Amino acid sequence: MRRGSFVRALLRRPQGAAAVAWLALVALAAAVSRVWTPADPFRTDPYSAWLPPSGSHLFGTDAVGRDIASYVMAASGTTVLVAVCSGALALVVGLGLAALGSLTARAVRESVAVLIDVLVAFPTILVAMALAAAFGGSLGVVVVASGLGYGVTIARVSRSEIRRVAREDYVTAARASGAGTAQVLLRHVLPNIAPVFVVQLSLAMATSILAEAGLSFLGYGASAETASWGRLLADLQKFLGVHPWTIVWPGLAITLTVLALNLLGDAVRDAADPRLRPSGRVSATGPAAAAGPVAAVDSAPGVTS
Amino acid sequence: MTLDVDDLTVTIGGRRVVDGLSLHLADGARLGLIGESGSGKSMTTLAVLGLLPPQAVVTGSIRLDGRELVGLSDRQLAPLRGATIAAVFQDPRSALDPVMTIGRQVAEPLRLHGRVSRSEARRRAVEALAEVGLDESVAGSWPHQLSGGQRQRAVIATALIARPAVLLADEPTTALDVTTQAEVLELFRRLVDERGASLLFVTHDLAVLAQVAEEASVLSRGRVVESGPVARLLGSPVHPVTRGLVEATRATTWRAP
Repeated sequence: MRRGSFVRALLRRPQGAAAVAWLALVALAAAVSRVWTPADPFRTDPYSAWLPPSGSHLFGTDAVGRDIASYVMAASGTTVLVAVCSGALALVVGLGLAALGSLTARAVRESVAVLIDVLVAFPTILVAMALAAAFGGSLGVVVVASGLGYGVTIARVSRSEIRRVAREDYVTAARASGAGTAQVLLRHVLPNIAPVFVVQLSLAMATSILAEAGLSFLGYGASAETASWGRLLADLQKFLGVHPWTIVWPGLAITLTVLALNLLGDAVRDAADPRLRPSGRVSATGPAAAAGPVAAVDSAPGVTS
Repeated sequence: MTLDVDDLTVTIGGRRVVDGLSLHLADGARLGLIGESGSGKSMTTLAVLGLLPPQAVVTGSIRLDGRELVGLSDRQLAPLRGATIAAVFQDPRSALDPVMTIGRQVAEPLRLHGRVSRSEARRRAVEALAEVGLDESVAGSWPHQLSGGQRQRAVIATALIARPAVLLADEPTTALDVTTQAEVLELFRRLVDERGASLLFVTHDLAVLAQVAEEASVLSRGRVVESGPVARLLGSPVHPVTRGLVEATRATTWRAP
């Protein structure tokens, strides 16, 4: 696929452009927060608790006087880290299991299919809580639990997709052109399952962000020294009755990021399919190979006698 | 190059789909293989390419210029496929990868075998497309943007780009309308002649066969029931299956003025 036309097709869609813009903003905030935030996100100051949004505190301050804007910005780094690591783990686990479950000998393939079905039945959040109970809560636990959890889901969907594509005529045609198993996989199977795969991957990343926020909210995720949207949500919700507006910031950040990832997945899927891109048919080309060839059918010896 | 199939038997799930089939394709010759659907024609083509489903059991021999192909591994066969033996399949709608541009697909055999650069592959793909009567702009378009006839031309360009010595054509015109069919047949005959390649042409239609091949074998239930010059098969068929095929041909072409 030509890369330029794909990017153009992606950005031409309003959802695609909006999703890319928001995720770019989050990534930028995450990167910048490593070196600079408006204020120290962890510095407490009892004299400036519950300040409303202003020039010096863009989102206001919380119960201990922390600058919410700085904290949200620092926490976006945690979110990006969790989403990227979980996504990468889910990708490896998902593709690996899907390949094992579709391209190997029958006995292996069927057992892997059963294994996938069994693993899918484990709720990711509970697995994460069990891991946190055993090893202590940390971002690593969140990443491992959600990466494995959604990797299995990806495997289940990709497995049937690989099996479908592997039966297509163009795969036989590619093999007849001399493509080996690896080449068929890379050149034909992967590009053809990519749309489904990308949607699943974006869902996995979105859900891992929710899982991190949820687990941190419950106290199983990010430690106290790590900024996290879920942890901020937990801190602020205690004062929901008195200062309801503060909770908007982490809530909005989580919601918009998850929404953007979901939209991005759909937009990528649509943009990756050349059949959905606006472009015309190819005009009639070249000279017809032969003149008056239809007559030849009838003049075959013996046919008309 | 010669292709000799001797006593080929293919069994899939206990069913003999090809049953003791023998045929001889001489160097530069054009041989037809004709039969009703389910007679084992396509399985024969796939057997020659070594692309039968994994549960298929193959016995007998398939020799390419004396070299035995039956029993070779996928890894040993892959260098031959697309380079020495190439194939054109029936349905051009499904034979092209929907998410790969035509130019890249046509060049694929070169990229897989030849270690040619991207730009060189593209240049030769455009050349190959021109040979089958397709414009340079087709190289950058997607399969869904082409008509059925254009797609089959692209498939033929793919099959011929690496200059194979043996070309297998499995009902390459069946999915096309009559006018396009005649053009594509003419294209086949011309290109195979120019290259001096040997052609095994599989079809169920004697009228189509008469346009591309001199000799043909009639296949029924996996075995050859009658062989000979196409004109003879059409004029004085002996076996009931051949007669049935000739009748069918008459029935479809009789209405022409």
